[in-house]
Amino acid sequence: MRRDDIAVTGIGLVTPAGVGADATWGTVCSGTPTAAVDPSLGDVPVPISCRVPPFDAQAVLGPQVWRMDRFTHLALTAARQAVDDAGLDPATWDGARVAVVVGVGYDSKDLVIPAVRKLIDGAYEKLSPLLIPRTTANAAAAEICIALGAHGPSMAVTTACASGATALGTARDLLLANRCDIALAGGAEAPCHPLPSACFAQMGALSTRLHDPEGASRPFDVDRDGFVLAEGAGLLVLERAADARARGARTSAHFSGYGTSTDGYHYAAPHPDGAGIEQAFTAALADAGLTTSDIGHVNAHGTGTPLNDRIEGAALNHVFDGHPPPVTSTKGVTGHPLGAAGAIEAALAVLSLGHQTIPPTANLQNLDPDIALDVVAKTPRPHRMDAVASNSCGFGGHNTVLILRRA
Amino acid sequence: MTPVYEAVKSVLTSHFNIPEDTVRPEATLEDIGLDSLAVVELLCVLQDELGLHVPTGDDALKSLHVTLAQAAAAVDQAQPAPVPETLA
Repeated sequence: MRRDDIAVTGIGLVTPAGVGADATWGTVCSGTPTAAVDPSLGDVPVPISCRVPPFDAQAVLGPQVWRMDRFTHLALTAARQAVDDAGLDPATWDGARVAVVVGVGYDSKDLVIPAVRKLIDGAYEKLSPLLIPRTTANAAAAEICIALGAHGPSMAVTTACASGATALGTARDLLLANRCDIALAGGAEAPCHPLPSACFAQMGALSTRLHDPEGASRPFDVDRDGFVLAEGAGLLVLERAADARARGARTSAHFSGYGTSTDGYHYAAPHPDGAGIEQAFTAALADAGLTTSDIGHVNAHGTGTPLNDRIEGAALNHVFDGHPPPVTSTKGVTGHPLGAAGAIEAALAVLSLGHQTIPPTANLQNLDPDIALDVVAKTPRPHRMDAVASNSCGFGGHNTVLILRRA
Repeated sequence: MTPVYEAVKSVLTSHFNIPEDTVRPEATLEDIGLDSLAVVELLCVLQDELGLHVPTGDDALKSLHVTLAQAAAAVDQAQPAPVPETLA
């Protein structure tokens, strides 16, 4: 244990692969894709998404669910799981020392279509007075603080599809700066609505594999043609490792390194030579006091867009001097839950360390010959690893790398 | 109670998830856990889901100490007068 190690003591996952960490891990390891035609998207060009299995939010969260958008339902459910998993009791903790940091990539759209319709009709008196407080990016963090009695620093962090990872890194910094003793951090997103779906389709970012929705999310495959829109939330409980040990908490992994960089190149496309990814990796390794030879596995961003996977593959080869460790993209199963992705994948990286097993990349039939990576496919691979890196990238050129070590 | 009271009650139980046994005519808006924004939301839902007219610019629902019976009466008053059958 290093002086600046941060312990992961609780995991909460609400993903298309399952409600709960065990359910999600099981589905991810089975390599079963969750992408399907989504009737709620209507007649948009690409009505495919990965949705969280039905769950009774009111039973978990109570009667106040009416005032929350779906991303908050997902975040709050994951937060409760994480706190339970950590063996913490919000009734007795020192709330002033509990921080909440939730990454959100895109503002919530639950109410936007009826609201714009009312606006066009001039029906101002019919507009919900809750539209603003429930859709702003901070709403999930705020509701978690209300529900759990967390009164320390709290915020939304937004770096597009790197948001969940950046939130975890920010929480690590808050703990190291002694601004809190417990941090509940991760990401949440619920973008399965016609507007984001149609707009991502207009960008050419979505897979259009309408004849085979299950096979639409196929990271690193030669036939990949875009990502699949997904929803989900992942929240971790983080504590300074010494504090976790002092209270006898079970530590799943140490969150040992955080590196972040910005391409400063294009508003949506990644930098063609992946320099920003490399810079984030270098910073994360230095933060963890490790070298590339210590990293036994990379949970890649691996969205399944032609550009991302090729550039990420090249960047990993550059970072690891031509010998990257085994890689997976769990997005083959979960799709791409935007701002939640980095946090869900960090949680999966923790579980990979614990199980010493790398989940497969679903739908990977034929590795793109332009990608020189050892991508785990078809079945989970038992693999000895002491440290794992999780990489996330976002529109706007945000790159975040997290390093997790065996406890 | 009036049809409007029953409509208010159904929205309180179905949209706001307020337990049915606490929604009583003599209970105040505050008693059932609504705040001032939730009251405006209630009026929006009554318009959206039930097509009711609601009091606007009226002080009747500005206080959380109004009872549900009084609130329902204020909404009832805001409904347009029915078209007399003699015109039919």
